Amino acid sequence: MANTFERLIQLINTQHHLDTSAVTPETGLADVGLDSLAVAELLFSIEEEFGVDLGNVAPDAVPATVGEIVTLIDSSRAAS
Amino acid sequence: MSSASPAAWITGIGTIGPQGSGWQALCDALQQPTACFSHVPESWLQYPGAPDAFIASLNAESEQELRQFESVSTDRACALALRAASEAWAQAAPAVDPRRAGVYWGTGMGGLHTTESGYHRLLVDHAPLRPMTVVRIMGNSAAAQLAIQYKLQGPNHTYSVACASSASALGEALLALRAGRIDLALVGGSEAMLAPGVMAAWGALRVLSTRKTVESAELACRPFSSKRSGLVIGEGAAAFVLESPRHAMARGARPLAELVGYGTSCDAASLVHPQTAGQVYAIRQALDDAGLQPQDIGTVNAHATGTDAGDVAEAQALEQVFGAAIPPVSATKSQHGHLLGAAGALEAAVCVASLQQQLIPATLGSEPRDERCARLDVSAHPRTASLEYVLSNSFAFGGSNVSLIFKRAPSSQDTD
Repeated sequence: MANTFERLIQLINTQHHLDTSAVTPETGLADVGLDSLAVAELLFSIEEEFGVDLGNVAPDAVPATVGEIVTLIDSSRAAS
Repeated sequence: MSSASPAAWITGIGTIGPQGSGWQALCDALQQPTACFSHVPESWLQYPGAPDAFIASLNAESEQELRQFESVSTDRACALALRAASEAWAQAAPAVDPRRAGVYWGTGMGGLHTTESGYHRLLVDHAPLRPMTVVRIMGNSAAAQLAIQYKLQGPNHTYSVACASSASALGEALLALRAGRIDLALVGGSEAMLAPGVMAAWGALRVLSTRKTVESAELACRPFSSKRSGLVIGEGAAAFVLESPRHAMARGARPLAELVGYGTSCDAASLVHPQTAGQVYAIRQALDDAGLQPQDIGTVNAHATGTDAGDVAEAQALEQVFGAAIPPVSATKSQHGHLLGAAGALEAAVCVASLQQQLIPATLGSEPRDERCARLDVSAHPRTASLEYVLSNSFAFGGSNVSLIFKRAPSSQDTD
């Protein structure tokens, strides 16, 4: 089974047709080509894809990098 | 002949619709005309008032090709726009100052699929709406996405004039080019209205061709016939790169055809009943704009949706404008259906194909003829003809009338 990072990249590819070949966990979401609305849509999709509830993410804690989203997903899954 | 206003050159065309994906598919379909109609999906009939109607949808190959243009931020109508524009832009291959280039787009209902799925999600499934919902639904979504895709930083306008939406976009882009506000415009229209909710609304209007009144899909749309049964709604998009001749010549581009005349009017009388007087005014205005006389028009691409009120009003308008010498007429909605906000653009593409192929398209199923339309020269088969100018009509709910005139591309000697 693909790990969280790989599944997340797959999800971004499906949604936006972006070139993610050079993306690493340290890559900023803006550098991937995702603006704030696209990140909101991505978080929405993550809830469906990964079966997690991200409703409690504080506005000032919105992830800025791909790796931070991976961490958010994994911690949410562990908590549930 | 009165003096003509400057023309715009068409340097790129792209289409996707019931006849297939791509400009060549449309050209081929005009040579071998068929009615691209089928029934609505059986699953839609579960809804109250859902019409057992005919539709003109994309074929499987076009559907497959459309997928690469779909993303989380695109409604189906927007994806269709991106597909058509990609072909037009690649063909024109323009180099342009981004601030001197604009988008002029037409759509009747914008992101209708997202509207319907959003209502279902919220009101039936009781699920929250997605963050992209608003930007997928908004009427200018396609125009904005096209600007982003091709870095077009000039005017970005969306025209929502029902069935005259994309014809309006073409005409207004012509005016902007003439005024010198821009050098180039990405122009056209897209519509994706084949969804159960909106079809039920069209059914309530009682203008659709349905299985109750039609023997077979081939005879679902019969403009000018006494056996007409209503219109067939289709989906698709058509896009053009329009340029000022000066700009196109400077980069060595050649025109596929020219847009030379634009007329527009509003009946100001009824939301749904077309008025001959308003149509006559739009056609005459387009002729004056192009500096032409009625006898210069080689053929008319009629609006002709296959409804009693529309077909007869247009036949009368043509009689008033052209008198005893009405040029041959075609009603290609009998082949590709009514693309609503995209209809004017798709039929503009048909006009360019007519000029390039020197062909008057077929009108399917127009016999037996409605006697009120008997003076129109209509053929069930494509005909060859010497065509210099083609008139295209788009007459909309709301009473808006748009007429466009296209001219055969000049020879290289004329423009060098």
